[in-house]
Amino acid sequence: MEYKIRTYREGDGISLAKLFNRVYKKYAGFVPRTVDYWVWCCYERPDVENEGIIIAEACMHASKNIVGYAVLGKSGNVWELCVDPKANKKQIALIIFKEINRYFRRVHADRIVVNVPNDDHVMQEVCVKMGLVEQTRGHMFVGIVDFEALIEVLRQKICENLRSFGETFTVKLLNARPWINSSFSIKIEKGELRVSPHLTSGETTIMVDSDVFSSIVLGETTPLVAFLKGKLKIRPLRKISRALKFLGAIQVDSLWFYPLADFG
Amino acid sequence: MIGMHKCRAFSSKDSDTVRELIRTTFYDFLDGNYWDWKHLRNPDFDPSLVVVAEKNGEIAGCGHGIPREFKLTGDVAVDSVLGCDLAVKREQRGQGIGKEILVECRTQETVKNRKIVLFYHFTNVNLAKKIHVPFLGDTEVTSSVKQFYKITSWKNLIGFIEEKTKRSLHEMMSSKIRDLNFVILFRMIGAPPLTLRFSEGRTRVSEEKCEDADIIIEGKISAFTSFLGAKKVKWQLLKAVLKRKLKIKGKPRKLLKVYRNLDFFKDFLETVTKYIR
Repeated sequence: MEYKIRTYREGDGISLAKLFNRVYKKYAGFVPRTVDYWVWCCYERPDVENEGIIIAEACMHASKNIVGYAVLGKSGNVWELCVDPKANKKQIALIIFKEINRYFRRVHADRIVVNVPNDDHVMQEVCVKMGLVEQTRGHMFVGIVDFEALIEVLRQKICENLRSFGETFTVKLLNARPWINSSFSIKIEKGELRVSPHLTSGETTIMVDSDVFSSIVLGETTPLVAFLKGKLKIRPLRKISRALKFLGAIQVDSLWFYPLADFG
Repeated sequence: MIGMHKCRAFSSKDSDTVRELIRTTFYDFLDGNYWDWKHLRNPDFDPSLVVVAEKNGEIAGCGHGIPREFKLTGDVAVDSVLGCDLAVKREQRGQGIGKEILVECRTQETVKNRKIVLFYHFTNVNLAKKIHVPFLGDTEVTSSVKQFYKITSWKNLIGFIEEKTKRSLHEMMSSKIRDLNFVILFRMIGAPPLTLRFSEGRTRVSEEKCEDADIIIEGKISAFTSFLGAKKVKWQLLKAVLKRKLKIKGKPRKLLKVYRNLDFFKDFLETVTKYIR
């Protein structure tokens, strides 16, 4: 397969945004790209110029497909880096990285910084081969302000995990901040989920500190561990197993990844 | 004390003041041009998600929120706000203005109207653990990001140090150090060698591999940044050496002399740290 490198052309935004969303689909924590967002975030970024958007195309017969790209800032930041996993990822990544080095030398950037997912061993191998070293990563913090809405959007995932459930849970959040509703009910029945901001007489009551609940929902604490540590109270006791299963179903279980471009 | 300042939503007439506040707070990467792009020229910019705190009719601080979609799982994304660029005037710090701004950001009517589900941010971990986590209830998520890094040249750092800190560094040195001639070589993995040379009463920083360095400090960049920017530099340096994150070789007398006077190198060390970060 022959690969060609070129720079950005007007109209590429659509393909690049699509490729980004496909490559990073399995992760959580980033902004799903729309064309408008990509253009503002990458093309219009103050330290990005046309020559700093490197695109790799696979040339097959008469057609060309974008199989990878990198958005480079004159600061030395690789704002976005994307390679189609269905293509020859290592080869394409190496080609793109050679162009990255060339570009940064040309603009006298004094550093190269790039974010790579933890489980992307191919890309990590390429980074090491190009002389980059791993350094302390940044930290990401999430503050949930509307638990009911969050559970609503996760309804499909929850119902798939709790098909046979017929249960009403009342969640009481202790030490909830003023902007958070401190109690709500969730009814799961016949594969349907309904969240009510008002307390209804649920069969099962879950009492938990708001911060602990947040930690459970975001996948940082398992419900069982929270329960064993006494941070989670479930009544009646015979419903412990169902309540823990429910809490497990509402957890975000994706890996958290963000490209440098989402940082700001 | 919380409540002594008035918080309100940003309006266009605040632009110049906020831009300048951001420029002076985040001088190394958020100059005016960048702030304009990040906020005013952002197609999703919502002024009601930017909060300014006023004291005696003057803006004392600001906090920004950028509305965004936020990917959760599978095909699920939620309406969120990226919290960023929280800045308080230096002379107004320590009065709870930052906290007021953060609370105001989350309790704005627009957050309910836009059906915002969560806020997220990339605040410095020490600051977040002091304020955002205990006060706002934010959770640090286990990141699956590996950041790879390489410094290709110290040229800009050297230029900066020569202009800004060379004189102050020399003035700060005690007479004991001033009479001493020595060379420190920093060998950071992922960066060219950096030499700090004290000789004949002058200091010089250069990108060279000095074979006759009196002291050689080797290690990963992250080990350097952890001790270079620390308040208790000596203790952090000792810790890094004991944990084998840093290796130090050199002539014992000169090592001892530099160690005893480590505080005099603070300016230089802080400059290098900020540059690396």
